[in-house]
Amino acid sequence: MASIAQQPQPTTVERPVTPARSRVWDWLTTIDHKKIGILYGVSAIFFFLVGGFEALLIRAQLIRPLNGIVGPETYNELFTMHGTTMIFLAVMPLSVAFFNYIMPLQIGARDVAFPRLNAFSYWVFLFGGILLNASWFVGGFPGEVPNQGWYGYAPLTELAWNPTRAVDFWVLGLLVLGVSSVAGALNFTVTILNMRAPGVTLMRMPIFTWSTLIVSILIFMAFPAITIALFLLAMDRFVGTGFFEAAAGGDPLLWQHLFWVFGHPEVYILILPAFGVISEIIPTFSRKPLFGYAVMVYAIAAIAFLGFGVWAHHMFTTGLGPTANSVFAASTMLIAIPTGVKIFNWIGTMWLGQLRFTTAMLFAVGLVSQFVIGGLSGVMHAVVPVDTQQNDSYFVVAHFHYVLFGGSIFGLIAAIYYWFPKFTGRMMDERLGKWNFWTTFLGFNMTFFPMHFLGLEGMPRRYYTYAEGSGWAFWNLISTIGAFILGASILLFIYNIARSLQTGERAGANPWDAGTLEWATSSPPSVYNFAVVPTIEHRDPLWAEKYGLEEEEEDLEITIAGKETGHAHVPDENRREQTLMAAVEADTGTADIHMPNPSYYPLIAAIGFTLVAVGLLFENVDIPIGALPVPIITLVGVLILVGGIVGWSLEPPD
Amino acid sequence: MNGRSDNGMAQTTRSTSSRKGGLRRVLTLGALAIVALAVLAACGIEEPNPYSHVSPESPTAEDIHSLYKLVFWLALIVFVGVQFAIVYTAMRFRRRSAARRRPPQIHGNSRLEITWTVIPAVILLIILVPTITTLFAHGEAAEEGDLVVEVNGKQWWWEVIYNEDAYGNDLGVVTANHIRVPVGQETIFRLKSNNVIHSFWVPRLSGKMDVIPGHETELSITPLEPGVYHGECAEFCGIQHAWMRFEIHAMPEDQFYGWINAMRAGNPGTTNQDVELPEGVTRAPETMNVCLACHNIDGFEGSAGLAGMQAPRTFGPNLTNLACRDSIAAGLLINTPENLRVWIDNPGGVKPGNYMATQLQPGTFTDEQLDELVDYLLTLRPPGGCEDFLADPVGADVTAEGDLAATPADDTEVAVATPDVTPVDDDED
Repeated sequence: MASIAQQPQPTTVERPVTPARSRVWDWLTTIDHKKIGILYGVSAIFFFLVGGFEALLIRAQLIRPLNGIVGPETYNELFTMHGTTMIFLAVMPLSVAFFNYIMPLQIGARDVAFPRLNAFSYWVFLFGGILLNASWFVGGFPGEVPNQGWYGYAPLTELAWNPTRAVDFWVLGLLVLGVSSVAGALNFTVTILNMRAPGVTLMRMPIFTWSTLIVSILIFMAFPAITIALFLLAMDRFVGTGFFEAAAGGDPLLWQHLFWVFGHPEVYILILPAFGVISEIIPTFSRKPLFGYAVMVYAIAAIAFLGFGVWAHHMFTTGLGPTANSVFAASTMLIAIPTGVKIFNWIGTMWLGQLRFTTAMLFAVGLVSQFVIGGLSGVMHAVVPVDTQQNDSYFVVAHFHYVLFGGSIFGLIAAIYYWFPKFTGRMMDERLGKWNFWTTFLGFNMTFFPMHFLGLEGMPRRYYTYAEGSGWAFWNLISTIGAFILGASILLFIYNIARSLQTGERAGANPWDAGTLEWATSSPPSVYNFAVVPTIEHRDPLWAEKYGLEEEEEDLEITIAGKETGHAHVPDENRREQTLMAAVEADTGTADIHMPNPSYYPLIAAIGFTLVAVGLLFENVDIPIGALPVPIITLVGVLILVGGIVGWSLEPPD
Repeated sequence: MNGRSDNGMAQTTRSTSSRKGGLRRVLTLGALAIVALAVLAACGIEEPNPYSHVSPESPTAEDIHSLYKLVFWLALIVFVGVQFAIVYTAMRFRRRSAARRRPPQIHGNSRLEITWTVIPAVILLIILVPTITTLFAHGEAAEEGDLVVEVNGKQWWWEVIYNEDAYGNDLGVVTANHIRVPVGQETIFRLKSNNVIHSFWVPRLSGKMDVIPGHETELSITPLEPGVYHGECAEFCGIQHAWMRFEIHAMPEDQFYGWINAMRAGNPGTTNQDVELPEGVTRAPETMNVCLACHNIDGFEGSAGLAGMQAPRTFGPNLTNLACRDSIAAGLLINTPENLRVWIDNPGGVKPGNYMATQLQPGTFTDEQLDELVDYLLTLRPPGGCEDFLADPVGADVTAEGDLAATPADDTEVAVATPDVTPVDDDED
C-alpha cells in the first residue's frame, strides 16, 4: 500500500471549462455528486419542516374534543400532504442525499456513473415536490389540495367522488417524483456495481453502501407498480377508463394490490438507509468492526426480498379469506427474523467496545431502541385477527411512526451529525446536540406512545375530531403536547446546523477516527474526491492502515457466561504511518484528473418534463386543433424536454 | 412458551452480570420505567370506553383479545430484554479514559448469531399457529348465522336492511345507523357499498371488515350480553369519515321482534293538507315534501315528494321512527328537538360537506317552518311510545354512557350534551 503515496499527483484540479460565473449558476449546472447531495439534503430538510408543520396543525386540531382549529376538509388535506411529503419529499430524498454524497466516497469513486442523469434526478425531484405543494395555492388558499390519504384508495380518488384537481396534483406529482427516484436508483446501482476502487469487493463495501445498493434495487423494482397504478388512475380521471370503479366493471381492490406491492417495499426503502447509517456509526463509536458483517448484508438483502411478498398484510380487513391471510401473516412474520438479527448484531458491535456517546451515536442507539418498539407492534399486526382490531386505528399510526421516526428519522439525524464534518469541514455542536437528542427522544415518545392507547381504545385514524364521550381526550392531549416538544427539538436541530456552519470547530479529515474510506478524503473533499484512486485491502481500510488489523493479531479468547465463544485480536494503536490518507489527500504531482463539465441540460430537461405534467392540470389553456384538445403547456413541455435531451446528448465529450 | 424466550433472556443477563454497580443502576432504571408505565396505563384504562377493543363482549372479540394478550406478553418480554441489553451495554462499555489499546476486534460469532436467529423464529412460530387456527375458525363461523342483516355503507351513514330472519319471515325493515339484533344469536352482516370504501367496526364485538364497492364482504357477530355497542367507520371515506358512527343494540328476542313490528307498522302520514285524516294517520307540514325527496318514511302514503323531484327516496336515511333514535347525523348529535332543529336548519354547518347541505342551507326554511318540521318529526314514533322497543335494558352497566354525543343520557332531556351543537368551527365556509 505504501506505493500509493508515491504515485504521481495532479497539479491542476479545477474543472477545466467553467469560467468564473455566479455561485447560483454553479449550483444550477453542477453535476458533482457532492453538490447534488447537498441540494437533495437542503431540499429534503425544507420539505421535512413543511411536513412537520402540517403534523403540528393536525395535532393542534386533535388536542381536545370537537376542536375547530381546522375544518374537516383542511384536516384531510393536512394528513394527506403530511404523509405524502414525509415519505416522498423528506425521508426518501434525505436518504438519497447521503447516497449521493457518501456512497461514491465509500467505494473510492470520483463521481456517480451518470453525473448528468444525477442532476436530472435532483431537479425532477425538486420540481415534483413543488408541483405537489403548488396545490395549496391553486384557486385560493388552501386550494385544490390532495385530500384522499397518502395511499389514495380508489374509488375515493375517482372523478365521481373527488371532482376537483386535488387528486390530479397528487397523481401527476407522484409520477414526476417516481421518474426522479428510478433514474437515481439506476444510477446508484450502476455506480456501485461498476465504479468501485480496486480491492473494494462487494463483501468489503461498507454497510451503508450495501444499503444504498439494495434500496436502489428496491426502488427500481417497486416503483413500476405504483407507476402503473397511478397511470391507470390518471386514465380513469382523464379518459374515464374505470379501472378502479366497480360500476364500470373495474375493481377498487386492484388499486390496493398495486399500491401495496409498491407500498410495502417502500417501507424498506425508507428504513434501510437508516439501518445502513447506524451500521457505520455504531462501529465507529465502539471502536470495533461491525459484528457479523456478512450476516448484516444477508439480513438487508433478505428484508428487501421478503418485502415484496407481504403486501397483502395491509389488506387483512378486505376479506381476502383465511388462506390468503395466513400466507401473508407467515411471510410478514418471517421478516421479523432478519430484522431481529440486525438489532442483536448492533448490540453485539457495542459489546466489549469502547463506546463514545456523541450525538450521532446517541441517535444511532436511540434508533436501535425505538425501532424495536415499532418492530414489535409490527409483529402484532401480522397476527391477522388482532390486526382486524388494530388496522386503521391509532395503533397503526403509533406503529409506523416508531418505524419511520424512531427508525428512519433518528437514523438520518444521526447521519447528519456524523457526516456534517465531512460535508462542511466543521463539527456540529455536541452540547446542543445532546439537548437535541434528549428533547427529540422525549417529544417523540410522548407524541407517539400514547397513540398505542388510543388505538386500543378504538380511535380510527383520519378522524378530524371526536366527542368527549369517546374516551380519547386524555391521550390526545398528551400526544399533542409531545408533538410540540418534538417540534421544538427539531428547531433546535436546525439551529445547531445553522450555528455550526458558522462557528463549528474545524474538523480534520477523520474527526471520529472512523474506518471507512470516505474519511480518507479531506473535509470537505476536493472536487475529484481522491487524488489517487486508492487500492483497498480491508473492509475498514483506515483502521487497517492505522492499527494494522491484518498483521498484528494478538489472540484473545472471548468468553461469555464462562463459555468460549470466539477469538479476536487486539491491535496496538499508532503502529503505522497513515499512508492511505496521505495518498488520497496529496495534491502534488503532474497528472491531470479528468472530471466531467457542468451542464445545464439536465435542468432544462427537468423543466420540460415537469411542464408536461403541469399542462395536464390546466384545461383552460388548451388550444383545440380540429376537434382535438391539445394541452399547450404539455406540448411546450415535450418540446423543451426533447430539446434538453438532444442538447444533453450532443454536448462535446469532456 | 414464555419459558423459551426467558431462556434467551437469562443468557444475556447471566453473561452481563459481572459488574454489579452498572447492573443495579440499570435494574433501578428499569423498575422505575415499569412503574411509570403502569401508572400511565392505569390512567388510560380506568374503565372500558365505548370503542375499546380490550374489553370484548362477544366470543369473536374475546378470541381476538386473548390472542392479543399472548402477543402482548411475548412482545413485552422481548421489549424488556432488548432494552435492558441496550442500556446495560451502553453503560457498561462506555469509553472511560482515553484507552490506549483498542478493544478486541471481534468480527462476529456464528454460534451467537444462529442463536438469535432461532429464538425469534421459535417465538414467531408460537404466534403463527394460533393466528392461523383462529383465522380459519372465524372464517367458518361466518358461514352460518341466525339472522342476516344487509348493511350498505353510504357517505356518511349506514343503511340497514332486514330481509329474511332465522324463521323464514320476510322482515322488510329498513333503518339507518341504529342496528338491532337479538342477543345471543349470531348475526351475519352483509356489507356492501355503491360509493367509496368504508369499514364496519364495532370494537367491542368484532374486528373490522371493509365495505368495498363491487365486493360483498361478511362479518359475523354474536353479542352475549344485551346492551348498546358503538360502531364507527374505520376506512377513510371522505370529508365526514369521522361522523359515520352507528350502534348495535343487542336485545332479547321478544323485544327485538317488538321493534321489528313497530318498524313494519311505520308512521302513516300525509302532506296533503285537504283530506280528512283516517284513523292513525298524521298530517305532516307541506315542507315535509322537501325531506321526502331523499328520505323515506314507511307507511307514509299519498305523498309524491316534491313536484318534479323523483330522486330515489333511499338517497338519505330512512326516517321511520326517527323520534326513537338516540342520535342523529350518524352519531354527531344527540337526538333532541333543539339539535334536530339546528341540523335541519344548517346541516352544512354542523357536518360540513354532507349531502343534505347541498339542498338545505340556513334560510331554506323559515323559523316557523322549522318549528313545524321538528314538531312533526318528533311524532315519528310508534303509537305506544318508544319505551317498549327502544329499551336499553341493561345498557347502563354494560356501556360507559358518559357524554358521548351519540349516547342518550338517561332518556330524559339533556338539552345539549355536545359542547357545540351549533356549527363546529369550520374553515371551509
